[in-house]
Amino acid sequence: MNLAIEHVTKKYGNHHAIDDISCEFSNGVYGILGANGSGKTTLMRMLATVTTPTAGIIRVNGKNILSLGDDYRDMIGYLPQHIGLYKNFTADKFLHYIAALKGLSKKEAALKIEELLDLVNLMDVRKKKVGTFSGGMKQRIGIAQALLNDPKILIVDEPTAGLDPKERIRFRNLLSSISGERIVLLSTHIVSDIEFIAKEVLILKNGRLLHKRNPQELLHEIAGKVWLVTTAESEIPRYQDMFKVGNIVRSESRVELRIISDDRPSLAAILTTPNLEDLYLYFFEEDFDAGPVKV
Amino acid sequence: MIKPNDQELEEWLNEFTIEYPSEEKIEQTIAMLHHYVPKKKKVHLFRQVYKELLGVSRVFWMTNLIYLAAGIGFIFIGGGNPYITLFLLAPLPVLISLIDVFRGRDEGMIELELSFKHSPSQLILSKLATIGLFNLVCNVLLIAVIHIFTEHILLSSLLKYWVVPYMVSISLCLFLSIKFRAVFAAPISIAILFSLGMAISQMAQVYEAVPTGMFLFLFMAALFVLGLEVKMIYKGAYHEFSD
Amino acid sequence: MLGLLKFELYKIYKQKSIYILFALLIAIISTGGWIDRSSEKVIYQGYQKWEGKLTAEKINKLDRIREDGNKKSDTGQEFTFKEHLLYSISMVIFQQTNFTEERNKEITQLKEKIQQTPLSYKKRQDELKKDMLSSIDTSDFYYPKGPAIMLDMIYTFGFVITAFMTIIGIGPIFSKEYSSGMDQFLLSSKYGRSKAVTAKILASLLFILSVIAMWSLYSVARSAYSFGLHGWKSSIQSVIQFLESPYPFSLSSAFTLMMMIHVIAALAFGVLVVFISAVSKKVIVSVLTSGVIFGLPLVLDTVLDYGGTKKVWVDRFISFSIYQFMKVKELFVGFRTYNFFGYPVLQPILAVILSFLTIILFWFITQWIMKKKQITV
Ligand SMILES: Nc1ncnc2c1ncn2[C@@H]1O[C@H](COP(=O)(O)OP(=O)(O)O)[C@@H](O)[C@H]1O
Ligand SMILES: [Mg+2]
Repeated sequence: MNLAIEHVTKKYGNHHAIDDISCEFSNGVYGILGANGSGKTTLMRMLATVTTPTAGIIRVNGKNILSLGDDYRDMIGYLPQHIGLYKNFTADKFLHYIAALKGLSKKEAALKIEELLDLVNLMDVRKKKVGTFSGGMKQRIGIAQALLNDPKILIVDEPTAGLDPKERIRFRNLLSSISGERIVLLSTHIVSDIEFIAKEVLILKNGRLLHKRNPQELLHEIAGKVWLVTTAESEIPRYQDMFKVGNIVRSESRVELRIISDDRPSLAAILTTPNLEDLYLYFFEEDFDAGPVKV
Repeated sequence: MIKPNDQELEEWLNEFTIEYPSEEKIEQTIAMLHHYVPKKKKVHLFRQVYKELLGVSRVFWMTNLIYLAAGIGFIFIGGGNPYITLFLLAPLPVLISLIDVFRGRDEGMIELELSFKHSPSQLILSKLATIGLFNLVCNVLLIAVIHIFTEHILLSSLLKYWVVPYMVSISLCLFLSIKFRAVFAAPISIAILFSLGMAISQMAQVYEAVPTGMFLFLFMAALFVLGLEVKMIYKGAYHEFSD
Repeated sequence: MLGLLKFELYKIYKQKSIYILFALLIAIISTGGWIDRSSEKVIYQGYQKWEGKLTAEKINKLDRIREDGNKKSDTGQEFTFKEHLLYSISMVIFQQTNFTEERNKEITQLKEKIQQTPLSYKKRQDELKKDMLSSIDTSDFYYPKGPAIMLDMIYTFGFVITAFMTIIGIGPIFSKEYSSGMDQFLLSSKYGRSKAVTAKILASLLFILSVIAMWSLYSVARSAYSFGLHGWKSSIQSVIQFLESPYPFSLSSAFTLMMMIHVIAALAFGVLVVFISAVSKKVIVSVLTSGVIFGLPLVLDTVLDYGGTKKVWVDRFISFSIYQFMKVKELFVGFRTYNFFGYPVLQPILAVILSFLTIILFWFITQWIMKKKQITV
């Protein structure tokens, strides 16, 4: 399976939501990392064919996905960022409906739904109306519907939003276990979602693709730029003004700051091994305050 | 590092004592901070509603305008019957505007609105009042124009062709809006109004023969129902509606 | 496909709004419908004596009854129930025989005219009218009250029920998917842009058929109960609204035909509403737009006709509206043809053709649009 994006641009009016992106994917998990508004959803929508590029082509195994049409849609599973559901449908009925949309026979659907409800831990509420579901439950049923047709290409847009930490870990393991024979594209602004499972990380910023590399290579990029500084609490604002400050750890009377900087921030600073969160900070300086959430 | 168990942790924590500030100091702090609390601005309810209607509900002004234009057009250019025109068209602006009045609720904003200064019930009622009054003015205007320039309007016919259908359709729509989504309440009421209007225009003699007392009764009944509905809204009965 | 169709039907019938509206509409048509069955029976018995071929003898007798009655009403004398019944029967027959005479006069006039004019659209039109008028057979007389009431139901309430139920029930069929975010699943799934669209259209049409079946069964049952199931052999001209109709139909064939045209026009309206829903972002937009398409001609027709004067362009607009097609009545009351390459096409035929074209065209466009559709939000 090979998925190729060739010079794809999406414009809304004069605004470039996606600006001339090219890249290729083969089987494995890909993390798409970007701040809010960076174009993750727009890119995934084009991959799911719910919207079309203003320019450029997306190909799967060399064929334009728009000319493949239904055949391409048969290959994909898509979990939108904001899922809408029929409030009056039960979980069971909803999944059966999506299965019918995906062309599964009744028998196949029943088997698959059984399997997936178990996988996403919704077996005991299958007869409940989805209107009564919590955010996390809705997200899980969304994941289940995306997997109904055993998609060769799985496109999930911020799938872990609304999940609690335990569910999040389950989901992560699930993705990594099914990623062997398919392409999984996962967008997030939560670094830990993809830190250990992504084959490659794509960094999107203002509609442009900054990097598409293996996490280790990316980390190599900022090696020697992450520092630990132990200082007094009162010093924090000064450091925040001058540098990108990541994690702050308090210990008794002192605080330990994690600082991303090309130069040594203070004489007492010591170098440390970078992680993806540092990487995120490194690339998204402006979105700093709304920055990454470590779970 | 060895992890302390709960008991050890508790003992360890007990070594720390935290001194509470004295009552006096707390009072002082509050008094000091009080200066900085911004004064609540008094926004008059009707002013807020007026603003909202101007800003949000362009639909309402548009429908009234279209109503006036259509009414005058039908009667003066088309030579249509003024009574049946009033019957079919007069309630439309209010019915359509009801969708807007209940939109906050229909889109699940009630929880947010409950935290506003004015309760959603107050907002809805005052919007209804504004819409009703303005539409009434439009109606009186249209009726006056008809009365002066074409035929003399009979009060009893006005009751039959304007007041009663107007009141009945609006109270029906308001009731449906309280119980269901307003997006459907309005079209349903319009459908009922049109079905009745069609039938009456085809059986005009029968309708004319119905005694005026019957209409007075219907008018009173609609007024009563409207009163009940206002009470229901005031008590927040519309929060729970079915999809 | 069948699975999808079931789901779409389920979604349509799950809407509470359709039941509220239907209940209210049925309540409206049920009020004032109370009939005294025993006196109705007596009336029918009165008519029964005169049913069958209208012989010269019967006509003579009725003529005398009518003249007596006229004298009586001139002098202000009271009628007994029986006398009044006989008098009204005589009036009905009188009106019909008068019209038969007038029709015959028109036929001879047309014959002359046809001989004088050279071959043209006008000539073909006259020939058509002459043929139609000559095949009208009003020599049989039956009491047509039951069928007349059923016919009446189509163009007073029936077509309005069909239309408004379609607007409320089908109007949201796509727009609700958009506003609820379900379109993301629809547009990204294998059949969401193809078979699901077909399923939605088919479900809409089935829904409309069920609505028509409901009200027509109700109406047939009610008038059968009140008036009985007789009089179907009477001519369409025996119903007062169709007195001048040039169509040579018995009431049974007229009812069947009018119901069929209503169904076809209603299906056309249904497909149109599905299309409108497919291009509307919000439920209210699709519902109000379909409402205007049906309601505007209705308002114009009701308001302007009532006063008497009707503008020509308004008339043209109304006569080509889906409202008029669904109402059916107006298609049959008079002789109206359209010039199609020199050949006259009768209005009911044109209405059926236009309805079928609407179905095909908007079905196709809707399928095409959904193929190309991008999500709205
Ligand atoms: N339907 C739309 N109309 C106009 N602008 C849009 C639309 N969808 C997205 N955008 C704009 O495109 C940019 C990228 O948005 P999005 O793809 O949703 O980002 P992300 O998913 O990374 O938060 C944003 O600036 C957003 O405002
Ligand atoms: Mg997004």
